Amino acid sequence: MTGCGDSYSAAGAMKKAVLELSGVTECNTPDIIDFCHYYSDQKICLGNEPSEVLVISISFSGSSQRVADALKRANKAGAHALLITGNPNSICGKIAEFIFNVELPEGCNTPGIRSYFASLSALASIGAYIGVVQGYAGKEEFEQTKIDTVQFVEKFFEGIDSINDEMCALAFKWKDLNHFEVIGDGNEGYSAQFIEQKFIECSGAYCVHTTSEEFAHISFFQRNPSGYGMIVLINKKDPSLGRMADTIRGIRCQHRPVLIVTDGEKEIFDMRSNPIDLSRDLYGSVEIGFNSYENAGIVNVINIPTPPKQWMSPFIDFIPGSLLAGYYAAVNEIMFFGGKYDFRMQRWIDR
Amino acid sequence: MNKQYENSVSTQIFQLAKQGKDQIIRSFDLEKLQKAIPKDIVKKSAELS
Repeated sequence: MTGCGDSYSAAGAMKKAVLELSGVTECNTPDIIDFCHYYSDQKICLGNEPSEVLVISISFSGSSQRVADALKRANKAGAHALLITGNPNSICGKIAEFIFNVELPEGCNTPGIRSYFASLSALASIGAYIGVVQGYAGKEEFEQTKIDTVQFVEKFFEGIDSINDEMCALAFKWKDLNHFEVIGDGNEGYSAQFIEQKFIECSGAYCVHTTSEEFAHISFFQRNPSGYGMIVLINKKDPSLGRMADTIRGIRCQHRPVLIVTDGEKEIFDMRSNPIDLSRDLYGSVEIGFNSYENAGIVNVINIPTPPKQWMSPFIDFIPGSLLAGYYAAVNEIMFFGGKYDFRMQRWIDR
Repeated sequence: MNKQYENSVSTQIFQLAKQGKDQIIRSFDLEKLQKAIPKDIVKKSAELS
């Protein structure tokens, strides 16, 4: 399963879903350039007959050249090629053997939030469908998965007004920061990647995503750490919860402003006051100002509902960070996409 | 305060709040899925790549 940009994030975010719902034993999400240019037929097929392999490429517009290349690459390897798209009559649609039309209703889709959600839904449903056809699950389980997913998403949206207000308020607190880092492990790592994409698309801010382990290994050494706005995605059942708690402690010790998106209670994390100790300021760069730990609002926590299944988390955990990305650009009066998209009028400038 | 800073991200998320349920239901449609990916293909596809 592959795609470009946020379509690739959707593939990664739903890998766990596809594996659990379909019962298949192997599901990979290669980077699309690797898949198109570095994957041999053997690597695509992993010892299976080509006709036993399904390559799923995602492009909402259907106009991505690289997705077209991935579909061609699948055809060349003799594998089946499925396109998930909102535009079946597109270039990619003409190449694909099979098409799943996400049927997104008319409306704003810049940057692609709704299409991302549609891709997540499509992938989960395809996983569940494969499970039914291959006898791994029954039709009743298919229906129950649909109901559980809907209920989980609706429960989250019950609190969207409050989350929206909090993210707008946080954007004001973080207005003058210009570095951001999003941390997530497992399938939440792809939600982190999606948020990174939205920060860059909306405001052009420097933003990266990483994992709890890589933060401890690498990001900890960033210069002026208190100038980084940190967003952490972690659920209480995540196997890496302990390491993420360490990471959050490290973030706090470096006086980084932090937003934690979690279904866990605040008590899981060390929320004690952590006054700046200049004698331990290794980099000599902790600032007592807008971006200091204290003024940035200690630790900001957004509580999300606990997913009935861990694979469902990506349906909602990208939303608070994406709102923050949009509001950060808006409060700084930065037009999206390098000044080319008017976020208020919701139209491209000079088009 | 939010009104002034509404943007195309927040607009979409509030649209999702209304339409997300239907989007999931539209996807979890066995008939639609079977039209998109015929059963005989899926039966042969023991693995995904």
